[in-house]
Amino acid sequence: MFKDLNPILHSQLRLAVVSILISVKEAEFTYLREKTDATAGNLSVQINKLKEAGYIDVTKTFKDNYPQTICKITPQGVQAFEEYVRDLQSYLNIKK
Amino acid sequence: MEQEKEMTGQESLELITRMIKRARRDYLNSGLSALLWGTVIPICSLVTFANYYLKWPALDYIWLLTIVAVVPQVVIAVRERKGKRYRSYDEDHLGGIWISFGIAVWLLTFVFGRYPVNGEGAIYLTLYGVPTFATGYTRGFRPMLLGGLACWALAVVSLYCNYPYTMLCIAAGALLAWFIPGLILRKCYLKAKEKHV
Amino acid sequence: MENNTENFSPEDSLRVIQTMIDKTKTSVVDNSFYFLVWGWLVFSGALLQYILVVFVKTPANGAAWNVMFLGFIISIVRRVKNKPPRVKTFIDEGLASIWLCIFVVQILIVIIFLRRGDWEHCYPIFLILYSVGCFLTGRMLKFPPLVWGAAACWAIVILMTFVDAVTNMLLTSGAVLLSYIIPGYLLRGEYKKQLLNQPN
Repeated sequence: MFKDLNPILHSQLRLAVVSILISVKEAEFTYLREKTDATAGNLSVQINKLKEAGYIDVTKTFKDNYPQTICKITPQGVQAFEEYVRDLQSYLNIKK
Repeated sequence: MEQEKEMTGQESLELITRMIKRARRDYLNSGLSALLWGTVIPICSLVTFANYYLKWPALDYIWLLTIVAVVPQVVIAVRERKGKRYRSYDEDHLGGIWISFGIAVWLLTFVFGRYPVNGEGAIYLTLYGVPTFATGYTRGFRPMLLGGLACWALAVVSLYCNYPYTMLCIAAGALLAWFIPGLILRKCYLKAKEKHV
Repeated sequence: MENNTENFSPEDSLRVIQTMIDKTKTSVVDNSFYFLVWGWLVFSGALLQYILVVFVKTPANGAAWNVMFLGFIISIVRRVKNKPPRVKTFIDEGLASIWLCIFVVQILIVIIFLRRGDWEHCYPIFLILYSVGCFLTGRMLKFPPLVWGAAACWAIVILMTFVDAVTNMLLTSGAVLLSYIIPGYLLRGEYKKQLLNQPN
């Protein structure tokens, strides 16, 4: 039924991550984990997939001697998300 | 690998909205900065007003309190930054507004220190209104938006008052722009925190 | 994932989502027009007043600032002629609110000085306000020349308090050149470059 929806985004966890990154400019890995209630392993797999698709940028830095992973959405990711929402809209027949 | 069920369109729409709302809830401001300045400025101006009649030389230096208040402000800012694990668009922009406001007030004080200008109080109040209004507008936080407008109205009112009474205008401006919105922010913040834990 | 019992109407959801998407967009719009118009007007107003004071020696030198009315006319004509842009980003809205703020404040300050006199001291105060707008626009558009222009204004404000009112007129021209006119032209160049690089 939803064959045409972008498969990279049409997955619970990945969609959740992208939605959060749409609302905040950049976020730490731990922040994303807390907001999505996902396990660290699953989350990093999904983040990698989004990164491979070019939807998000991942930077690794250090903060107070702890490694820190910062995720940020790319313009390409915003565009994909926008299209995804538009597709959803037409499926659900919602008038703007 | 992906042990999740297929989502319907309605479900994914709900998921997106829920996530955005969750991230947005963190925009909550602790309200401490607003309370700090909403207390310090009225104290200074009310003391200056009272001292017009008391005439204690020591109280002429009351405005130095605003320099002392920079210390807790820095502590608040550092603590808020440390506890935060994300950056938002709104916050970046609002940060800029308050930085430039700080610089502007400092410069204004410098200018007035070099030569006294008539209507100092009105000019300060006018400036107070700018970041307050912009913050209220951007966040859709009505108390601050109204506080900013109140500062501008009081700026005009202060033009029709003479010296010690302009201090009352400044006190009222700071209370309306920062103290009252600060109290409201604080209340929301504590309530949200309670719900979270 | 927690199951929220909140009720979502799809329309509400889409509205929330759309606002969020808009916030991520930072395409540079051509803001240079207003910077250049107002920049050149303030520049010539200040210079004209200097000429009227030093060379013409007329007490009515404040009349030089009537050139500012040209700015209102040009801005209004431009508003009417240009159709509103198809997309309005969060940045456009933010900038509009800030400049509206600064406009209101400018008028208030003119009122303050009209009532209280002291015109010879007005230059640094106007400059402080203008520079706030520059600084914020520079930060929002991620365009450093405007931020540096604002910083230059701040330095000039300090300098102004050490010299007389007539020199302040010249300094105002200089400040506007650094914070409005030069960044304005740079911004226009940047915008043209961006247009060339766009695929269609």
